[in-house]
Amino acid sequence: MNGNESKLPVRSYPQEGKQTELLQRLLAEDSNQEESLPTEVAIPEEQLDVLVFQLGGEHYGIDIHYVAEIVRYKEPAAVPHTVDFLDGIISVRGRMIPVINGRRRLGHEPAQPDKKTRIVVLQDGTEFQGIIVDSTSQVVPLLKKDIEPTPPVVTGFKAEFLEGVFRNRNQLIILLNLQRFLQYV
Amino acid sequence: MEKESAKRDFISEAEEILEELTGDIQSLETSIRRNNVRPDLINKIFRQFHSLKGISGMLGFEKISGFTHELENMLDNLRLGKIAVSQKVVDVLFQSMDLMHGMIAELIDEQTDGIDPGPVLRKVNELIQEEESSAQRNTFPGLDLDQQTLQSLTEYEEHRLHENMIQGAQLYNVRLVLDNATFDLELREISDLLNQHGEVISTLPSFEISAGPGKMVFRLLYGTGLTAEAILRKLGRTEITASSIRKETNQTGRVETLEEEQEPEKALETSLKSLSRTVRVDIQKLDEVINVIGELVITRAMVANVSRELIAAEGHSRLGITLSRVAVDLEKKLNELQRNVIETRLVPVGQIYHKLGRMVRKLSRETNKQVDLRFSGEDTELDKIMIEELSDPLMHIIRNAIDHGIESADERKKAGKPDRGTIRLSAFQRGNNVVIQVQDDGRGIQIKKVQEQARKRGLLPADRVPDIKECIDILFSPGFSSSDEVTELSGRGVGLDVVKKNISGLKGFISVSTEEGRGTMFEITLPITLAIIQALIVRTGETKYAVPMSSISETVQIENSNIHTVDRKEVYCLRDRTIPLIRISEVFQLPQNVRGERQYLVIVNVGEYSAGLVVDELAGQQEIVIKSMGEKLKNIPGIAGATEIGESKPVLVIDAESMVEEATHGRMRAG
Repeated sequence: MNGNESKLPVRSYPQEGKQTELLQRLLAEDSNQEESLPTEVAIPEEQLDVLVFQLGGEHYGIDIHYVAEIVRYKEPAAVPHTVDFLDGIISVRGRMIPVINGRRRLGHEPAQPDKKTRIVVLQDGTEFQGIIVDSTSQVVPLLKKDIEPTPPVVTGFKAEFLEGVFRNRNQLIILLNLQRFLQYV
Repeated sequence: MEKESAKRDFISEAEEILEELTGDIQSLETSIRRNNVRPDLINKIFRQFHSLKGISGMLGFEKISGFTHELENMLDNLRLGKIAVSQKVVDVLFQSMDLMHGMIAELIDEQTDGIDPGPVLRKVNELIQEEESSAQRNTFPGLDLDQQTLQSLTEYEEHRLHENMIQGAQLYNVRLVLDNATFDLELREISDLLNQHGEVISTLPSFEISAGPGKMVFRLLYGTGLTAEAILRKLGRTEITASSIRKETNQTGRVETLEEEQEPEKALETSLKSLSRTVRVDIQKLDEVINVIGELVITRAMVANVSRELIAAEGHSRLGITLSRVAVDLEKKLNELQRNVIETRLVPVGQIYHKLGRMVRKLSRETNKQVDLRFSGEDTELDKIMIEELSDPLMHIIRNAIDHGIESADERKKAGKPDRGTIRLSAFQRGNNVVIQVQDDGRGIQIKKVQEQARKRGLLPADRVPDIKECIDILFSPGFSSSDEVTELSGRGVGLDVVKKNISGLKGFISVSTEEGRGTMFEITLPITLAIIQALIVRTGETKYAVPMSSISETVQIENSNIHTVDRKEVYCLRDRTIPLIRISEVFQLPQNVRGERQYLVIVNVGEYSAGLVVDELAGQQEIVIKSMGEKLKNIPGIAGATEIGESKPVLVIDAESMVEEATHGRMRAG
């Protein structure tokens, strides 16, 4: 950060697919032990950057750490014998990525894709997942202390997906719990 | 980070060394049996443990470096002749190998206290204590050597000199006069040449001014079966003299055998050379290259399309024609590139043979059965990934062969067979496939035993007497184990069904032939690589699928009159056979589409069975790269993965075997 005013902190992302599982584990261990790598862990723990996207007129946010890239909508190829909110698979640079329909996952009516529709590609280790969203808008920094608990209007299975809400200017952004959001068999 | 990559490098390097060591220790064992242990083999084993000690010590893996240190001491005594080279030593070496593998696995799993080197270490130390007292050392009354020369010999050289005397080799003092500028090269050349016909025991520089300026004189102590004249003839140089240093010369006729035995040494050296020219590459990198090629293939298809459109729009314009030529050229180059990359992924099957050899040793000890493992075709090449996946199924089959196939020595004697059982492991290429056979000379599959066991497990109705073909099917059914009691070897509820599953996961299939009293042969047929395969693109309704050509036997146009139903299940009469019909949309529970005027049947073979996939269109053959759809979509029945064929959407790749299984089970449930 060295005094420069960049909004996006330096952060190292795992390189796509280059690491074996073993190395992943090693890396994990590495970052636990050696706190002193300045370029890699220069983010104050209480701050994170959030990618904001829209679903059914609402603003949702996810930790940008897991976002590998954002691509324009392309029609997925259907995959049988799987959950109904999985629209299928798309190919991004030769990699097959299962794509979840964000609206269906939240129990909304699915929408016809238009030119704003995006697929947010998430990466967790060597696993990739896509989420179809109505649009993406911005990346905002967020201090953890600004996260408010989810208002009790949300109930049922959807409540688990939500980590909390926060305000950015006059927008209310709903923070997703990605782990639960992406959990399905 | 640096430390981690160093660790990774260490692991792969250590595994490489261990792999080679396994082979070396095996040849040591054979050479003990044949009584022709070569000193350089022991030296090589010593050096390899030495480097293991070195690199593990450097990286602070104390457990490994500590153990290898002791082992190195033992091996040092071994090469100095203080310990006799015996089966006991080989056993300890093999146990050490197991331990090393264990400790490296520990390193990978980030554990440190699972494995105790103690017991093996004790055995190593026992051997070190066992130093043979050899009183004759340091005095060579039969040799014409001055005291100064004798004193300049190292302990090892003394030992070798002694050994050479015992073996009755001729001993010479070979005097070389070499040029100062090139002596190192020449010396090595001469030593190499001499070592092919004997052993250079010691190289002693000598100070003789008489040789002239710019010259150096060396004396080689050389043990051989050759005569002095023969040595000079072999060397073909003039500034060399050879004089015998044995006082009484008792000639022995070992010349030929010596020459013959030194041949492998030569081969070893060339193989070492080629080793140094190899590069170790993470297979994932190759996968990435193949991915990029896959994308280029699609780009090429686009170029071809544009050229066609251009020609259609503008007639045979110069640009259009040039573009289409470029597309053709691009295709050729891409094919070449693809072939080359695939070749880099291929490794010889022999890589797993060593591992299996180790296991057979262990099992034959545990079961008290004497089993020889014979290899052939170790040069047959197969995709690296497949080789890795293959070792478990092969181990299982070999375990079965030792546990159930090979009889005890008594039983074998009664049956008029040699005491030692034999398992033959052979690999060869057949067309675009690699075939691996595991053949034992045991008792064969016993119908009666299988039948009994199958009844016990409710796999066979009480009144039914199966034929051999049915027996084999039963063997491959889940949960079947023919052993009366569950043994540590092949019991544990994991049966041949898992083997079959693994093999079909590799797009291969397995077949069995057996003869009671004579033995059993398992034959595994695999494609050479999984990276790129030939596939038939088919369409049903709106959706296209890719079906691997390896599982297709033929395609036919459907004659509606040949479709019948048996118990409400659709079957098709194909010439003299009746095969089940499978509609993809039914298996995948997709909405039924309107059936087209004309439909085709893709006949797929699953082992010995056939089934017909009904499709609306055969859209041509294509080379495809099967890609995983990620962990979550890994095990969908009927689907092997996905691929791109140059269209906007990926297409699913049909896994014929699980598709047929899914289809027939589905019907059974419905019925």
